[in-house]
Amino acid sequence: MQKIPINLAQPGMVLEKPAVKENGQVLLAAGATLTEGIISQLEKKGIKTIVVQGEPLDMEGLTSNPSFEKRAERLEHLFRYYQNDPVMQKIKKFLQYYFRQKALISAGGQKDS
Amino acid sequence: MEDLRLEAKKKVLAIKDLPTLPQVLEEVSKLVEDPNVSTEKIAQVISKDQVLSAKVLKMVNSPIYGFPRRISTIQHALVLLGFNVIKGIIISTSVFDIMNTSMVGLWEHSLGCALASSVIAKKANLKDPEEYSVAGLLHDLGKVIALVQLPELKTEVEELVKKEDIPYYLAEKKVMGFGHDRINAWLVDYWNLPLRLKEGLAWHHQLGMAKHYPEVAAVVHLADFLTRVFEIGFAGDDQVSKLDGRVFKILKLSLSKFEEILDELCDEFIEISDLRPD
Amino acid sequence: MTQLEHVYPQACWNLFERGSRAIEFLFNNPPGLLLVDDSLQDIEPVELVGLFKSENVYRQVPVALILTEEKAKEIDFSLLEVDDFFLKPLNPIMAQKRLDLILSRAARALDANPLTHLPGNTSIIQKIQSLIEQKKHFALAYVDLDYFKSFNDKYGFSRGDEVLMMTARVIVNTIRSIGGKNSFVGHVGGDDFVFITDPDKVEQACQMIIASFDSIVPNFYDLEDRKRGKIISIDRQGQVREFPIMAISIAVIFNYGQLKHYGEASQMAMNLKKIAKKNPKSSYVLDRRKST
Repeated sequence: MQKIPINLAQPGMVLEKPAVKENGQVLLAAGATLTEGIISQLEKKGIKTIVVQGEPLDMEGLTSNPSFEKRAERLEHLFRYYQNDPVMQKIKKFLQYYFRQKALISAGGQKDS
Repeated sequence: MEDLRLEAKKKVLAIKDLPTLPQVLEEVSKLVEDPNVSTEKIAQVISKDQVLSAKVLKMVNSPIYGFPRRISTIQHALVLLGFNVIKGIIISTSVFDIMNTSMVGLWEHSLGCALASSVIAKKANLKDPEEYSVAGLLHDLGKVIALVQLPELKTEVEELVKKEDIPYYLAEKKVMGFGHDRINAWLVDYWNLPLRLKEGLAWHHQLGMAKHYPEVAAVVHLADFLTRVFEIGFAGDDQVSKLDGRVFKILKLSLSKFEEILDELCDEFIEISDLRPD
Repeated sequence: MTQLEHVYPQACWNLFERGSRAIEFLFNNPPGLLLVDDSLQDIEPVELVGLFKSENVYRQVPVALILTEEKAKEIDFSLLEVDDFFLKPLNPIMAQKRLDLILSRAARALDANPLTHLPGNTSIIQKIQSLIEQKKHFALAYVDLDYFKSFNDKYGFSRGDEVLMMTARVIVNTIRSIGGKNSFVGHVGGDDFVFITDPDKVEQACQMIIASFDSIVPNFYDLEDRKRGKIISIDRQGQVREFPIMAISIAVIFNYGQLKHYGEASQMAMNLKKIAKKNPKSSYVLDRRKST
């Protein structure tokens, strides 16, 4: 899933989490498919960000929440002090596998734009 | 080294004023002005800030109130302190004179760790997940104290981290002879915090030493590790902490449970992630 | 001294020229207040005070000295157990105010519960009686803890005191947050508390107090008992006894102008309390009888 600013939302994207106003009011449930009309409605009602299924956008540098593929890559850097530690390396490999699986599942769930 | 430790301890315990981030204080200050606000709402906001949470727990566990070392959640503390006292704590809390991004990063990391602790505790079927959340929130309090009371040592540690590209915790050990977990231990004793918080805060880097509440230390240990894997906030370095394999046994976590935790964290962490302006 | 008689005529005064005479009287009829003038000839004022205060039965009688400024400078008040002093020459109006203050302070100190410092029996009765006489509508609640004794027996009085301090805070903060014109919290003694609030707010108060208490009290038990949800202890005969985690019982009665005397109120509450205590869990019982 990805958190994206509303102005980058596109028709066909599906909400992973409900669109909620700051006061807690739910405007649109998870699972809803976005249309032009819905997107502008949400914008009008003050929604700034939404969380959509899959990873349809390249948010490199725009978010503190990187894509799953990016996370898998980062692990090399994060585990660098423990290059000679077999236990830590095993854990790293497991986590890399985990994130790459998540990336695949995300890609599979994406709609064609 | 021993002298340095004693000196440092004296300075740590002499702490008078613990400041926090301006945005947090602003939010809470606004809340307490509202006559209709509930304690739950105030608790929610205070639970996101390690300094306010620490102050609240320190006050409610003071011998003056009559029941030291008993209270370890913000909700309970607020019920027992009452509105006037809470307001007093907030009014008397100041903000950092000089704010920098590393401080914001530290707050984000603590919040991430609080969240992760809660998730892990729930998945491990532990009772009272809020207690683990508090331990996660406060696990790096020692770093904040060092910022305020031991600024020169802190700068030295930061420089060593940059120079040798080593984890912050190891740099602390090299420069000071002790880590932020030792500072936590001093504070927890001095402030009469409950034993389970003590074990979570003092032993999350030395799991074997937690004799009475090994689960708390284990949860915080794993939460800290995972918060770093997901790179939530900044705790002094961009590295993972060393994971002690015993956590899985202590918390009875199977591999699939571990994956469930990771799934849940993907979900939770996206909530607190932010988007950089274009 | 005769000046003061005029300034405070509402009191019953007993004047003694000689300290020695006063002593016998004091020991047999301890007054509400003892004033000692430093011009006493036969016995040193300081000695008289010391003699009186050294006995615990007379200790809470407030004692004040009347003395010159020079004399006052000589005295080390941290060593002498007096409660106040007046400087000569006396200012009548200030002296009257001072006397009021000394008497009310002594009453507060005497009445306050030594553990929680909440108002005690005297204040509670006064408060209830005053509200009844003013025909105010209020709800009066009597609170106590179930299984408190078994907790004390196992964990000791010190920890029992901790629970009482916690209970006091829960009740005080809840009543304060609920507001209400005639709200009041008192501590009768031991695990017995009293609170007063508006009739339309009392049910909420009970629910909040119970929720908070139930949530916090497990923290005062050792880990094993806490996990079990009960105390396991061995009595003197070697029998294993089980007691549930402490619960809070609240009995609430209402005044809609029908009550005449606080005694009625406490009697009704006691009877209601028996019903509440039948439930091993925390519970509250409201007196459903309406005024005719």
